[in-house]
Amino acid sequence: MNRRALALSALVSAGLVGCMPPIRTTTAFSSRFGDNNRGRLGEVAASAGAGALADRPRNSLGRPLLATVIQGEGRAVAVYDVQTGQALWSRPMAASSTPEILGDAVVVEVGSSTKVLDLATGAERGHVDHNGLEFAGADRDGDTIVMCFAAGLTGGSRRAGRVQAVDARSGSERWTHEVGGILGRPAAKGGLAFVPWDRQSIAVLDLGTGVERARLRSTDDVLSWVFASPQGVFYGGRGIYRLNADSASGTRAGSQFLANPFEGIPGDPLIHRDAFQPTTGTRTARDRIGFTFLPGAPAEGGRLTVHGDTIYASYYHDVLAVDAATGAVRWAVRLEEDVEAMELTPTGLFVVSAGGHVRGIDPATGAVGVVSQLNAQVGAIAMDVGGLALPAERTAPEGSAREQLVSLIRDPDNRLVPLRSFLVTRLARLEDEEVTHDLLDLYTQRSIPVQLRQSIATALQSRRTGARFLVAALEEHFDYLENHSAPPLQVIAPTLVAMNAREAVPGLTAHLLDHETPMESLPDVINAIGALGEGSAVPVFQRWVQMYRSDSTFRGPERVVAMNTAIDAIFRHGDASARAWLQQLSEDTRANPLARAHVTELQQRDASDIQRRETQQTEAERQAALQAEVNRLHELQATVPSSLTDAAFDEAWNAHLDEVRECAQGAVSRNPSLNQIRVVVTLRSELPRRLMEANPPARTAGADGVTHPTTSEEALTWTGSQMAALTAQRSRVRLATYAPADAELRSCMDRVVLPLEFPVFREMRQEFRRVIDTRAARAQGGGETINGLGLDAQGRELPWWLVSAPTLEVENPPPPVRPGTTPATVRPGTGPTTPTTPTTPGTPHDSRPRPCRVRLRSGPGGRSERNPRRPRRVVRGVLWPCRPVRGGAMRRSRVRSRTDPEEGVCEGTCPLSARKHPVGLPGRHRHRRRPRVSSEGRQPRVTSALAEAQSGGLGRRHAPDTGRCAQANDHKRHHRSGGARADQRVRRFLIVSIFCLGACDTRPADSPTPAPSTSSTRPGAAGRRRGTPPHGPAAAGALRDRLLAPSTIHRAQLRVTTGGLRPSAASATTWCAASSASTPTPTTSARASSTSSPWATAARLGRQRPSRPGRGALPPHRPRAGAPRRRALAPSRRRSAAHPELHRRRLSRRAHARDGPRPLDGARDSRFMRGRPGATAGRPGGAGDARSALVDAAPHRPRDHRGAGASRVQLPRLQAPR
Amino acid sequence: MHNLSRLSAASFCLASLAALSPASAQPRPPATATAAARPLTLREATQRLQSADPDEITEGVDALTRIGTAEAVPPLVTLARSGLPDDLLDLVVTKLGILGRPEAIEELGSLMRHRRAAVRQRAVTSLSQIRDERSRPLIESGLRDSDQSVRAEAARALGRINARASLALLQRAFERNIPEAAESIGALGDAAAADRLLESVGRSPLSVLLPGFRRFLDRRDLPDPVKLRIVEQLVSRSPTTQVKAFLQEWVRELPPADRSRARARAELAIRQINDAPAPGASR
Repeated sequence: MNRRALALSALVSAGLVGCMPPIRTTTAFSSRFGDNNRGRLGEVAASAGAGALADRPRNSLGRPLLATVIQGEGRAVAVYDVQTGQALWSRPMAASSTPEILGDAVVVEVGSSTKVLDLATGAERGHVDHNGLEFAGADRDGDTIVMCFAAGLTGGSRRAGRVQAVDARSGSERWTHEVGGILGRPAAKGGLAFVPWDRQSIAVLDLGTGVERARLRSTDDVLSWVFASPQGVFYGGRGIYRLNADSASGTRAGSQFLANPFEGIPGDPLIHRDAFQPTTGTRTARDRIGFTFLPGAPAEGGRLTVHGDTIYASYYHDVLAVDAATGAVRWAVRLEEDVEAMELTPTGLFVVSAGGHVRGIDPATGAVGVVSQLNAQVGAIAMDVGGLALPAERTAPEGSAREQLVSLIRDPDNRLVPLRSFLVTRLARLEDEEVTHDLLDLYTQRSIPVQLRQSIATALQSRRTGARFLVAALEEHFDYLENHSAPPLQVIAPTLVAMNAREAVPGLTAHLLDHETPMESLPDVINAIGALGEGSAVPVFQRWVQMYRSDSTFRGPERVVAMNTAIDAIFRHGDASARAWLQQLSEDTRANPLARAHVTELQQRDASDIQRRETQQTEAERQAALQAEVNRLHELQATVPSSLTDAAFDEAWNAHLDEVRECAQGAVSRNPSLNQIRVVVTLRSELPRRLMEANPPARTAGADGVTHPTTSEEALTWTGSQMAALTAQRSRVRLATYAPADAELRSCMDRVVLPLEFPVFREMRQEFRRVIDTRAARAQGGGETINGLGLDAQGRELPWWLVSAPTLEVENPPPPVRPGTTPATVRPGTGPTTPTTPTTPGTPHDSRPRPCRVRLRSGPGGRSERNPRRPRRVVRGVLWPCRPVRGGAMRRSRVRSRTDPEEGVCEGTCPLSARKHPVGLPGRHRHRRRPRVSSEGRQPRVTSALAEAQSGGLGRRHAPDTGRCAQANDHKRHHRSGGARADQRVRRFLIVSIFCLGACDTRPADSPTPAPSTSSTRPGAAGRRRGTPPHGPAAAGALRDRLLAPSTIHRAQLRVTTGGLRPSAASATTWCAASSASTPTPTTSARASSTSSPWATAARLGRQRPSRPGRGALPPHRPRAGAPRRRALAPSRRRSAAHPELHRRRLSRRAHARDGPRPLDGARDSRFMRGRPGATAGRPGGAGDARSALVDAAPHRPRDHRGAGASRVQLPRLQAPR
Repeated sequence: MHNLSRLSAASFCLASLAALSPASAQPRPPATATAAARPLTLREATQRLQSADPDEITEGVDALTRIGTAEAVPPLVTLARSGLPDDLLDLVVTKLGILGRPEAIEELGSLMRHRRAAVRQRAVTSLSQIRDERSRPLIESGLRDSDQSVRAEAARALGRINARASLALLQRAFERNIPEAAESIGALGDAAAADRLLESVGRSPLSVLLPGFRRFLDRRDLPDPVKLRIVEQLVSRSPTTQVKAFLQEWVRELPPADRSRARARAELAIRQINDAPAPGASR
């Protein structure tokens, strides 16, 4: 019972198994399957393995076989023994694909099914229905045949595919996959099936189960085929890839790849049979054009190679062997019949022709021998001829590879014209100079098609060797009797020029004179003669042109081209006589009018060129002269000092001392108790602004009032007039005041002083004070007479009067020293030193240190390190120093040296002018209430510092700001001053400046230090020793004060990110030193005392939150909600702003009404009664004390001699004496 | 009396003024009239060549041609090289031939390479007018010319100058489709040449061949058998009315006393050839 039950169950099970449908797995071609997996691809490549080349057929019979479709009537599938040419069998059937020999079976498509035939007998083992698809191909490994079917292989909207594994013995199906894409001809090896998919991927399936093992996807190429060979699995499109782990890269560069060296062959065939192109079972041209190769073993470095380093190509009846590395043709042979199939084995290359001839070709030499004759018209051939030996009788192609190529190019078969053109290009690549001869010979062949002739001409022109053949070709001329045509001069001549073959000139000349030379070739010939013969060819051209100048041969615009070309050559290579000859030709009324016109055109063109060159030269000379004049003008303008020195003043003043003495004597005689007479001379330099214009105007008005661009002559004239006017310009005494207010003294002195003329200077007004010390003179003289001050150490008589001019060697008192400051080093006998650059004795200009200009730039500074997406914004402040140069000119010189771009850089010494307002510093927005001034920074004429300082009303500023140029030196003015964004820039600059100063103070002890200030009054300078500046946050207050004291910022180059100041700036290696004095205001002092760190200072000054380094930018200041808005100007102030001149006059009247006629009225000036300068030094007090010190020091410091400068506006309001 | 003397003085003055009036004030006779009246000298003719007036140049060329000496050639050569308009250059080339001076051969040889075919053709003609052995190779080069008119003129010129040395070249020219060479072959060729020309019957048009055969038949230096063979071959190869007319014309021009066998054969052929054209017979 049990046995029966077991047997029954076994029977049922077997029946079930047998009746079960094949596995329809979904474990392949999934879109979720990971492709280009290196590990999986490596595994499948290892499974496919690499072995030795096959030395025997792959079929089960072990004989070299050939499966084909017999063409013509009675179509049949047949299998032949290639060795004997006998048919094993032949089965009539309408095959629609090329039969494939797979082991012991033959697979062929017949109608809508694919049949599996027995290789030995042709009996059908089974068939597979296509189910509406098209047979793409099959391969076999073991007892499994894998077939692929697809729809849409040749186009169409439907794209479907099926891969199916069948048993090779029974034809039964084992598994199948249906895909929504097209599948190509598969390959099978090592238990794996390699299925090309959609020309982009190759799916590797397990032959036993159909499960996908790996998938390859190319990202930069088209995968059109895959095949398995004993050396491994290869795939590709127009190149060859080896399947291995490197294939996971999906790219050419990352894989083992070999490009087709023979690209460009007509039809652009793939290097292997296209797996997505179904075979037809008939003869097609596609079968006659193709490549074949045997994959080689991997070379060093994993480079992909092919066996013998040779790839073979067939093109109808031409077969070529091409070097796989260079693409050079090794050999080329022309067969008698078209090649229908070609297979390469290690023993030889075997081809089958349509007539059934099987030929063997020696892969090394191209020797051809017939293997067998099939005695049938065959087509759609599949070969399995591994191990087949070459025939003993072989005929090698004649000649070298070059000659073989030439032979193929000469082939008159018009089907091969594309290949012949291609071979022409390959022939032209050969270095052999005989190639030039070959190409020339080919070109002259009458039977050469036009397309091919053009290719030959192009190839010939690319040659650079073999000129002798071209020269020899020039000896050929047209000969009707001998049926010789003229050589292709339009090709030869340019090539000869490219080869620089000068020996070709005689031959070319002969063709020029030969009437048989085609008209269209003459320009090339003439150009070649001209290029190669240069000047020696001119007489030839002249004779030729002379001969035909009146002839009708060259009449007409098309025919005259040659003559014009010759004229061009004469014009180009001829000398003066040749040009004269051309001139005669142009004047010859009988000559060709077109040629004459051409000569005239050439002459005009040449004349215009000459004229243009001359004009350019003249203009260049004129520009040079103009530049020299402008430079002179600049030098002259540069000699105009900003202010007059005492020496310059005394040069005119001292010439009238005798008259002054008389006036002083008169005053003393009238007032014997008079101790001193003070004279204050106010000079006015009405220097027209136009005289200081540096460059000529761009446009000049003509006589008719219409402006035109200024010419060089006009610019020269303008420069000369400028120089003359500037030279004649003088400054004059505008006002002279005297103390005491003696009318006679005034009258006397006016006669002396008022007519004086002085050199012109830039500032409009300047005061000079001179003191006549009658007391000392009287005491020295012992009476009321003025005799002098006595004798000096050298026994010379001192003058009876004393002035503050440094030209007089009078020992001036030491400068005042403020409490808490370091006394200045005073050299004996030289008076107080000034912290400025050395002056040039005797020069009329002022050579003191010039103010800096400040330019703040903000721009992108790359990417933030913390957040690369966020652009870093960099503020870069550059203080532009104005160095004294020769002639006293102020010239900008930008600081370019940087020690470290990440750190602040400060160097040099250049006090910031009080007149130049740095960008971002307080007081910048004054211009909203002030008239605009020029960018040159001239003092506004209407709001002088004097008026501003004394007005007490509108626009009064605190001391550091008064007298400054109201407009900042920000020419771009992107932001309206006073706005939020402008404030942000101000704050930013403050941060930068403070940072810079902090960095500057960290200079090393041994760094070079400029001359220290002798009268520094900075709070931060107190107690500082030279070379040991304060460090770090402790000096923040001082730094801030120095910042606010505008004369303390020095030449610097700053860089800081808005994200915060870098602490590394404290280790800046450069140095910066303060050098000039300034007067701190109580406000700044108070701020200094409350400052604890530069960050806090910056934040407070910039109204920003303190920011830690690296925390990002400080947010810009935004007014709080509810904060009062800025008040608008009152109507009166708006009027003042609109009419500054009226405003100034109103201020003057107001001051006059309040304070008297003028502040410098000697009768009420208490200072005039103080005695000698320096008398007030050391007086205690606050700001007033400082002012007194300045006043006392004024006669001894050139800086303070500026009448309308910063020191002047710091004067206290003068009170009339009681 | 006094008045009479004054009148006579005035008459004398008028007469004197009339006598002193410049003869140049009279219109100058035209140059042609002067030339017609008096032949130009060599110098005058040469000076005329330098004129810008084509008429004066033509006058100078004619004058030089009339002078006809060797000294007349260089001015014409210089003129030809100076680049003349077509008509003047053609005139000069023609005149150089009329001059017939060997000094012009070199220039005519260079003009054989002129790009205008008419010039080359005239140069060939002029060269044929110069009895100099140096002319023959230049004329032969005309057979190689690409222009048919030049080739034809060269072929004829070789016959005119009796250039027997050029017979082979003429035969080759005839084979290269220069029909004018046939006449020159007939003028210069021997029996072999006649036989070679006879071989062309049937291949070349009779209108091309018959002038050559006529020259053969007209020659007195050819023996009668050769002429007889020509007649027989013509009749046998092309018994057409064209040949009959050709023979009739030849026989008509023969002297009556001529009793050659060639004449007899020709008269026989004239009688045998029907006037109606044979069907399919070539012209």
